[in-house]
Amino acid sequence: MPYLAVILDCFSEAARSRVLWVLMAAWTILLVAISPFSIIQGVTTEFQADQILARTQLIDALTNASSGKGSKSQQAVWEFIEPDLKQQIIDRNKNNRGGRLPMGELSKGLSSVLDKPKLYSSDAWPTASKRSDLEELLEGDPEKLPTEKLQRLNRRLVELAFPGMIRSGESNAIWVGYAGIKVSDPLPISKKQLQPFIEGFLLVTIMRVGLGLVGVFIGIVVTSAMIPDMFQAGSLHLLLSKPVSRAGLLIAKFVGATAFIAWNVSFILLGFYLLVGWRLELWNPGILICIPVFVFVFMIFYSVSMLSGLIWKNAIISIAITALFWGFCTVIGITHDVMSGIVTQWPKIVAIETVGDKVFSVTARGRLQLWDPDSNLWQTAYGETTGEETIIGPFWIKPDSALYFGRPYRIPFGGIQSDSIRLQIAKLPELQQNERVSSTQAEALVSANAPPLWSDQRIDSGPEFPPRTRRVIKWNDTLLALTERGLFRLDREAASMDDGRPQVSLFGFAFPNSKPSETYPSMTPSDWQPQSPMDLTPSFDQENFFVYTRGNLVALRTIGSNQFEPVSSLDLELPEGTLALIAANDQMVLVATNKNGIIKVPIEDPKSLKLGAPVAIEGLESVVPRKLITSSIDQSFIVLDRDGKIWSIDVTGEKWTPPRLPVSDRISAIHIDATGNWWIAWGVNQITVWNPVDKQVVQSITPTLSLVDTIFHRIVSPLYWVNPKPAAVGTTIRSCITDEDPFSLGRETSELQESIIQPTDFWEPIWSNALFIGVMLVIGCSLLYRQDL
Amino acid sequence: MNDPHLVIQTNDLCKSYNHGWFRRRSLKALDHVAISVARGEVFALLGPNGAGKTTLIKLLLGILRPTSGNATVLQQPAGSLAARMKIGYLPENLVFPKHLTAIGALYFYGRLSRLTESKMKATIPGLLDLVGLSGRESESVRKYSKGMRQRLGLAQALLHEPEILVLDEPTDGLDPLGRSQIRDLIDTLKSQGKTIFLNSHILQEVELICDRVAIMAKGRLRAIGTIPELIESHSHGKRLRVHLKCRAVDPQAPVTIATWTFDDSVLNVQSSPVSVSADETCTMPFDFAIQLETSEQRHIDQLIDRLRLASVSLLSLERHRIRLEDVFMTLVDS
Repeated sequence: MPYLAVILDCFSEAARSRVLWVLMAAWTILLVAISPFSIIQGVTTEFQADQILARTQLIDALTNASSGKGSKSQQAVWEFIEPDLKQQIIDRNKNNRGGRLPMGELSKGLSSVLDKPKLYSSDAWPTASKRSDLEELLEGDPEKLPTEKLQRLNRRLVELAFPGMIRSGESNAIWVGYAGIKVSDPLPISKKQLQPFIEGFLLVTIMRVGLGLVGVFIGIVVTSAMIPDMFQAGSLHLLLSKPVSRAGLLIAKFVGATAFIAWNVSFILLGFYLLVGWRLELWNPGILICIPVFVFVFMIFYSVSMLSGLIWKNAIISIAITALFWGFCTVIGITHDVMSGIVTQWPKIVAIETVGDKVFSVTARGRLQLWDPDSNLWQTAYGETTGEETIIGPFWIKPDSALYFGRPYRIPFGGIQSDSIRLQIAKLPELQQNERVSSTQAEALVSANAPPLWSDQRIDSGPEFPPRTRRVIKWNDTLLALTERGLFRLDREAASMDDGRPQVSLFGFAFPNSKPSETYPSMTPSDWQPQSPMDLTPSFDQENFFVYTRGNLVALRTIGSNQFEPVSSLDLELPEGTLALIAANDQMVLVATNKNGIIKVPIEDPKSLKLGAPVAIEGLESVVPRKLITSSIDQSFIVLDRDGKIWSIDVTGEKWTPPRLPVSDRISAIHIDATGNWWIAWGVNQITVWNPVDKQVVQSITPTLSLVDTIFHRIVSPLYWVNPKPAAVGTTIRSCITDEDPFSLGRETSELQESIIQPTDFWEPIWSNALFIGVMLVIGCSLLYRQDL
Repeated sequence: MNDPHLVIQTNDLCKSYNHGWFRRRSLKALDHVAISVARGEVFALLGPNGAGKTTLIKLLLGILRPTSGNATVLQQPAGSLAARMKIGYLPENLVFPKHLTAIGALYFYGRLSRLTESKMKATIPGLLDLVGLSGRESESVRKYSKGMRQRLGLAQALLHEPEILVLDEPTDGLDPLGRSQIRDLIDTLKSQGKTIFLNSHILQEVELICDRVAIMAKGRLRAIGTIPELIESHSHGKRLRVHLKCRAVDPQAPVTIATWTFDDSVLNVQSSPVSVSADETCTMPFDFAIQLETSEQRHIDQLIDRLRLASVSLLSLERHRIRLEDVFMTLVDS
């Protein structure tokens, strides 16, 4: 009862703030003002740029029509096209087809014809009246048709005039409307397509900046005087003379201020939720879930404001200290995030290859590195630090004494993305002769910016992998590429002739050759085209293959001379878009999925490759794989999961265990060498070599920490750990609104393997910040208890 | 120590404040103070600024914790919730939260005192009437004068019908009528058996309403007792002092009287110069004053006899009486 009185008093005290009422009134006016905005969905007859299928042909046809050539219907269209477009086409013709004619202007010019009532003539379109879709429209006088019907008729007539050049049919479009009136040009997307933009960007930005920053700051300003006001001598002594505890009084004040902000945030977000739902038909409950999240963010900052008020007893100082705290948290957060990428994410080992006594690894940023025991450092063998994707491989091809690896190729300026992969071949003659990098050289290579080990042209740029390559594996001393057009084999001899030089160059950027290279002869019939997501594994005897293709498992049997044919297919009945990795031993194919755990598919007949009924392995339903391999020693399977844990599944697929490894669970890569030892990459760039038979550590690779690493681990990380990370709550807000799975993976199976282990629990900021608030309250209560007032 | 009649008891109560950058400097605000207040008493705490009066009140209310010693209120440790339930407190320079109305403030403090809504609803109108705020209870305290705030403060102190009222300068800011009303109210409360512990600078008021007084200076208790006891204890061994107003015709009378001696007595005559007419035969009566400080009554008697013999008329005789203020000044100065 007494504490409830304090809470209610806080409420009424804050409610007297003029700043608050002005802002609430402003918010209400804003909501009322924007409430007539809506998204109007409809069908548009207007031509969209993406509906013009053959731009050049279309312009040529119009050019012909301008000079009285071409069909009568084309000439009729030409007659009614708006003069601006006519002029542009004529000018272009005069310049011998030079000059730009953007698609947008072309479609707009064509759309201008749609309102012309005199476009139709039976002379120009003699068969139109017999077409079922136009019969009704041409029954009467086209000039008397209502606008909508006229536009539909003319649209269809233009399509008939330029067959194959314009995609037929009306298109869905949306307009921005205000009070039911369209105030924008039609946007050639559906409402559903607009939803990710609204939810993922617009709502998140409004919520994070508007409420997360401005709203919380206003809340702090409004409530900052509560604690200092309590300390006015005549007021505080009277309060303390009442039968209430000091801690209770302080906590009641805190709860009162928080309750007040919760009320306001509820008002704001409920209004926002109703408005977005009513006008945009996006009834996103995430907006309402954000109410407690925002209140929580306020509590973080208010706990600082409260403690400052207790110490300095001044509202202005409280606000200033809170702002400083916010600045400190932001700086520490940004520094940590940036350095965390550089120190812990980029150098994380995602692949290992051993060649004799040499150890190669690949980092998450695509750096190929060689372990140098003399300097106790990973030396850069080959690395492009600007890319965001790792490299594919490496694969040791013994006959060539070379490491082969693929480098994804990305065209600048986003938008158009190429999924080409360039093959790189690193010849290692010196290393074959145990020629090591001298210690002097090694010292020079300590820095990440040091020249790569093979910068002296020892890396050859090989041919591109075939287009739409989804998976590359090593097989019989060469590489195989599984693409959406089938399975292709690298012909190493032909590859040595192909320098892989790009054949197209634009604006100074080299574009890869998009034609299938002759260096990759097909191994499968041309009509066999697997679909993404897909994965490939050879049978244990390396004679046949199994392919996972969009929820199906296909067996490819050899028919001699590196040719294979699909012989059996099994629908695994997996949800649409399930990604999977596969591996095989003599008895079964193991399918490790990202949605349905791990499934074993028995091979009923090794000759006919007949596949048995799939059986899910119990207990591994929640395992999402990053890597799946078959041990060449005992045919058991090893799964490295998304969380960095390893699972060992026996040869029968009946038993599984998480082996007791001498390393933590943060395993990022695993490799089994020829002797059966496990090379386990963990932490950032450490490797432990483990013998699974006698369960002993054979070797440990622990690189020396660099200065940047030391600063990060000794200074930045501890500071970040103790600071409450209020900005991290932004992640929680985003996941509330967009309903994103923080573990969501890509669309391709390869992305399962390349995904860097980043177990992000979006509730983690809530716990850490709750702890911070608790500590601040305990300090505050203790301070108030001990203070002589 | 646990006399049930004593509602407030302190025993060797000490309080030191630490201050300075590292809080190493210590200031003794209370130094071994021992007082006791009986049930139904009106007890006043007197002392100059910085004497430790407010510190003592804060210790009794639990706002401060003692450095050493102890205090009990109604047989409970001072500052305990049980003790605070039974105390009504009117602080000096009372500040009400500005967002409250008078009635809102009474409800707020009533809830803090754990009163039920029905109890408050029944009590508040009478209290507002008692302190003279009826009809103005819906006004914001922001608009209240200091006197009105003081009355409201008194109302909140009485709201939960406490056994002890601790009033820190209760008449501060009140007009003479208001002061008189407060005095009457204290008398009424006393008659109801309430114990009143007040702190006031206005000694005349204290003399009028208090049963017992404690005088403090520099953190120490200098005296405690009823007012007559204090005066008596300070009158003992003091010389007698009389002040006489006289009238005479002989212009030389004051000069003559000034030459009289009475053992160790000190005689002082104060007179204005007398105007004498030109022929020196017609003289006008004039007034003058005599002050005698002596250790024996007989010297006063002798002075009066001799004045009468000298044809000096006695207009008045005033014997100086020791008052609380004298006691206060003596104790504080010492």
